[in-house]
Amino acid sequence: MARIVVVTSGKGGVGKTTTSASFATGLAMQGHRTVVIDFDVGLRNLDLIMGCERRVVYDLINVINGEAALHQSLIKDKHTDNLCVLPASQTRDKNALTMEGVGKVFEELSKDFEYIVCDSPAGIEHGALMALYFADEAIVTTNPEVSSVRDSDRILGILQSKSRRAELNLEPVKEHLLVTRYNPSRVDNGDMLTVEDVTDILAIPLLAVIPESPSVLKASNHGIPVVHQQDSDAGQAYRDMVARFLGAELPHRFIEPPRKGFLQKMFRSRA
Amino acid sequence: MTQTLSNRQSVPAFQLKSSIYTLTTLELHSPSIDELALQLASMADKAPSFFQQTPVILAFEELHSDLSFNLNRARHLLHETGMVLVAVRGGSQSLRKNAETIGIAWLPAQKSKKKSNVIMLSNPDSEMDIESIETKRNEIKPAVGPKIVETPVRSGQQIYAEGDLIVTSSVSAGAELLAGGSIHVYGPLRGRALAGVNSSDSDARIYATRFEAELVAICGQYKLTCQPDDSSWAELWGKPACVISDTGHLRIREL
Repeated sequence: MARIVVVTSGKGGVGKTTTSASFATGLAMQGHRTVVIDFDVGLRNLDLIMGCERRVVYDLINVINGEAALHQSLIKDKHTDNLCVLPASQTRDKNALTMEGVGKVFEELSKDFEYIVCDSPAGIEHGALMALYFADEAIVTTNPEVSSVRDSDRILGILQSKSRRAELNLEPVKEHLLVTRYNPSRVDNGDMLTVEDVTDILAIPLLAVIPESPSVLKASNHGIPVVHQQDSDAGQAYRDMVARFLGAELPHRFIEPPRKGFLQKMFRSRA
Repeated sequence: MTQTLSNRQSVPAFQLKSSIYTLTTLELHSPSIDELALQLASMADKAPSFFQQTPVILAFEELHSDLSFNLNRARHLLHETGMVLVAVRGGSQSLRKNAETIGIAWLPAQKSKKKSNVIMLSNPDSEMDIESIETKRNEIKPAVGPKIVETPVRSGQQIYAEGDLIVTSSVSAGAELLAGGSIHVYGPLRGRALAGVNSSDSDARIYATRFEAELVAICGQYKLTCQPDDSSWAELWGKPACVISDTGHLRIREL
């Protein structure tokens, strides 16, 4: 039986799609058969981040409506073995997602894959509920600022009350906290919340901290998930995240600001 | 003339208010109307005036099938005993339809039941007289156990307890706790806490081991904690504290 992992946040623009792409790619790089599904019907982006936008023929809604078979809509990733992308429709809206339809798609995908990663749309409406309803685990993506933290708190409440596991009184959805766009220097200045502030408010285990990095935007624009970049700090952080998700115990990196060089220290003490 | 008109407009004909009542629930264990009739008759024999004009709810959660159940007959039976059927709870879609046809409210099935609230009136052999039933009912009303919540209460969630409410985890900003009695939070209280909501009994209190509430209220008297008018609120921020109602004013104390 495949594990269904939803990447969710409540708030938009925090890095859900970037995380879904890198996390799914990371799992596949570790040899796990993985599929990543875009639930953002009408505002699909995952195909762009994964660099397969020109290969989309059929999408999730076509499969749900019976207009295409599942294997026709799955796009095999060019860079990584074991990885497939199931894109969203750009011409429909989120109401086209039905509970039965989504359930059937998951059932069928479970036969071929070990991990099903769901890229949730922002908000707490139908689309987001469909993405999280069947989840076994949730990666709650949060930026270190108050509105993002509050929205993540709201999403955690919804996971506890409206998911399938909550409704059937099963073991609750396993929650992981992912802090993204973390800038240690700005945290030091007091512009951003610290990792401790965020974990204190949300009270769920911290999976990883992804630093704010120019390589993320570059990777997105090139359509290659940032996890592929060996020398990028964000890429390394995503690899750590995948390893921790799979059970490895690694120390958290990228939380402290970069050490200043000798000359910079001199300059600072004079100023 | 214009004045009278405008006056009339400013006074609405009615106001919608929500109230909370304790209702007698008749939990059905058998779909047979005849068994129901028999048991009702023996109960009515013992306490003829006890059930006069008592509103009751028929609960169907314990029944496996209610397809053969004649709701209209059950209503007449209850009526003969003096009880007034006001609603049915749970049951099938067809039962819900039947209730709609005869003009009775429908309530969704309850997931978990408190076994402790069961009043043993069902044993026809018991030698219970009217007085003992009366006292039993009066005893049961105030004896509502505390509601215990062990998971974090998240933003946007609302928790209501008839009696006391105990939370052993955090209460996030944007969450709301409502309790008929007192509220106890063993962790950070960052949301809203309203104690003593359905009584004028101002003994209700709010306790938190880390007090950072947005708003506190006891018996309708509320206070926004962002604009504390005396320094004790600011001093105890983030610390263990207790809020009490003192002659209509809310005060905070160290724990």
